[in-house]
Amino acid sequence: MTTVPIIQINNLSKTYGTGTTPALSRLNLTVNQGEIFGYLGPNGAGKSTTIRILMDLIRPTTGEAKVFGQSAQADAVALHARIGFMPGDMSLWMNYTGRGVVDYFSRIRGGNYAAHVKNLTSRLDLDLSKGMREYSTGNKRKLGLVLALMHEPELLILDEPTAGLDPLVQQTFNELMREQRTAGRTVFLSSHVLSEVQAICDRVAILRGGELKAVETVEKLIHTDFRWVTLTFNAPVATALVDGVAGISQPTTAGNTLKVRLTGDFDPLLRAVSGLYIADVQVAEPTLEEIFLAYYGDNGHSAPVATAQTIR
Amino acid sequence: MNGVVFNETLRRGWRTALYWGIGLAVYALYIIMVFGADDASRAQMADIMATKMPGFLGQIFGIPEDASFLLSTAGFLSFAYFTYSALMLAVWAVLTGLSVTANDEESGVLNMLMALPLARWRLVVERIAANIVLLIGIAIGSLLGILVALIMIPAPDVALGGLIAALFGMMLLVSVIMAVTVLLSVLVKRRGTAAALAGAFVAVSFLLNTLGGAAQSSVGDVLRNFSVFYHFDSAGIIQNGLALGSVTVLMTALVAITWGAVYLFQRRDLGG
Repeated sequence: MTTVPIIQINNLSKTYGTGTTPALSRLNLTVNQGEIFGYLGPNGAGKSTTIRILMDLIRPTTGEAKVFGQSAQADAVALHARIGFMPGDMSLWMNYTGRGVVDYFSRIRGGNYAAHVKNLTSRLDLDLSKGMREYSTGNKRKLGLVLALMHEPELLILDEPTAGLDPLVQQTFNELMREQRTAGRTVFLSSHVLSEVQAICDRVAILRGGELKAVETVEKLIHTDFRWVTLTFNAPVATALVDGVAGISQPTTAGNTLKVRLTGDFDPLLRAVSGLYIADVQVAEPTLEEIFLAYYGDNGHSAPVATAQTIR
Repeated sequence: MNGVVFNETLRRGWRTALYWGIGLAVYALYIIMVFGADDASRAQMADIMATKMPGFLGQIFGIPEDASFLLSTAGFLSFAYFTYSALMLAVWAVLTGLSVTANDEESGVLNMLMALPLARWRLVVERIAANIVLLIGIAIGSLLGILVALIMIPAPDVALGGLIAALFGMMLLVSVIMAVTVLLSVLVKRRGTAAALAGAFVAVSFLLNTLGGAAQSSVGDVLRNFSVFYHFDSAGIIQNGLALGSVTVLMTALVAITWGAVYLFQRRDLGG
C-alpha cells in the first residue's frame, strides 16, 4: 500500500503578468503526513507564491500542485475544507469583531467549533469581543491562528505564522504545532526566522530566487554541515597555527582561545595543535542562520558549501 | 455552505440600504410636494426650464425639449424623480459593485475568504443576488415615499401598477450598473480604477441617452441604444407599462455581464 503525499508539487513555475523573471521556477517538493515542514527563504524567494498556488489564490504558469492527491486548482473547494490557512498579511474587515469573523468563517465551513475556539483563544490569550480596529498586529496574527486551527484541519498551511507574535505566544504556537504533529496532522509553514523552524520543524526546504536549493531534515542540516570549534590553551596563540589546515576556515583568536570553523573531520585540526597544552575544547553546531548564509553566500549568490543534499 | 455569503451580505448591507430607501422616500416627498403639488407649480417649472435653462444644459440633464411633458404627473415623476433617482442609485450601484470583489481584494481579505471551502463563483453570485434583494428594499422605500406624496396631492393619471413597473425598470438599470462595476473590478483589480471606469460608464451612458435623443438624427438614435439609461423610459413605463424589448435588453445584459464577471474571476489570479 502506497501513501499519498500530503503535498506533491511537480515542476511548478509561476511568472507574474508579462514579466520574464519567474517568481517560482520548476519547483519539485513532497510533504508527507505528520511532518512539520519548514519553507525557508528571504523575502521574494517565492515562498508566498508557492503557498498562494497551493491555496488556489493564484494559478501556476506551468506544472502542478496536488494536495491529498487532488489538484490544488480543480479541487480547491473540497481541499479547503481540509486545510487551515493563515496568510502572511492578515487583513480582515475592520467593522467586524473577532467573534464576528470566527462565526462567519464557521458558517462557511458548515460547523460549530465553539469549544475548540474557546480552547484556542484561552491558550493564545485572545479576546474575541474586540473590534478589528482594536486589534494589534499580534492579536490579528492570533486570530489568524484561531481561524486556521478551529476546524482541526488535516493540513495547516501557514505563511510567516509567528511574525508579530511575542515570545510567550511563540511558545504556545510551537506547542500547538507539535500537537498537530502528534495528532498525525501535517504543517507546512514558511518563515525567514530560522530559529523558529529549528525549534519545531522536521524537514526544511530552502528556497532562493524562486528555485529550490535544498530539502533536508533539520537535524541533518545541523549535523552534516560545519561546526564552530573553540580551543582554549594555557598561553596565547596566533591564527597562523592553523594556516593551511584542511577543513579549517575563519580562525580568530582572543587571548588563550582559538575559534575556527571546521568542515569535515577533526583529525587535521587535532594534529595541528598536538604540541600545545589544550585546556578546553568546545564544539558548537552552526545555527540555521549560518547554514542559510552558507547556502546563499554573503552577496546573495548560492554557495552550497554545506554537505546537505542539494536538490537539482 | 450555500447561502452563507448571501445572508452575510444582507446582514452587512441592510442598514445602508435602509438609509438609501429613507433618503429616496424623502426625496420623493420633497420633489412631489414642493414642485408637483398642483398644475400651476408644474407649469411654472416647465416654463422655467423652457425659457431660462440653456438648451445644451437642459439636454445634458435630460430635460425634455417639450417642457409641457412635465405637466402630466407621469412626466413630472419621470423627470423630477426617476431620472435623478436612477442617477443617485447609480452611485449606490458602483459602491455596491465594488464591495463584491474589489474592496476585499485590495484590502487582502479575499485571501482569507477564498481559502475557505467557498467557490469563487458562489462568492460573486451570492453577493450580487443579496445586493439585488437590498435594492428591492430601497425600491420599496422609494415607492412608499411616492405613494405618501401622491395621497397628499391626488394624481388621478398615475396608477400603482405603473409606479411599481417604473421602479422595477429602475432596479434593472441599477442592477446592470452594479454588474458592470463588478466586471470592471474583476478586470482591473484596483478599486480606484474600477470606480473611475464605472463612473465613466454611468456618465457616458447617461449623456449618450440624453444628447443622443436631443440630436434628432439617425446616428443619435442608434447610439442611444447602447445606453442603459435609454432602456429605462420611466414616463413610458408609468403610462404604458414595461416595454418588453427594454426589459429583455437589461435582463440579458445583467445575466451576460454577471456571467462574464464570474467567468473571469474564476480564472484569474487573486490579489495584486
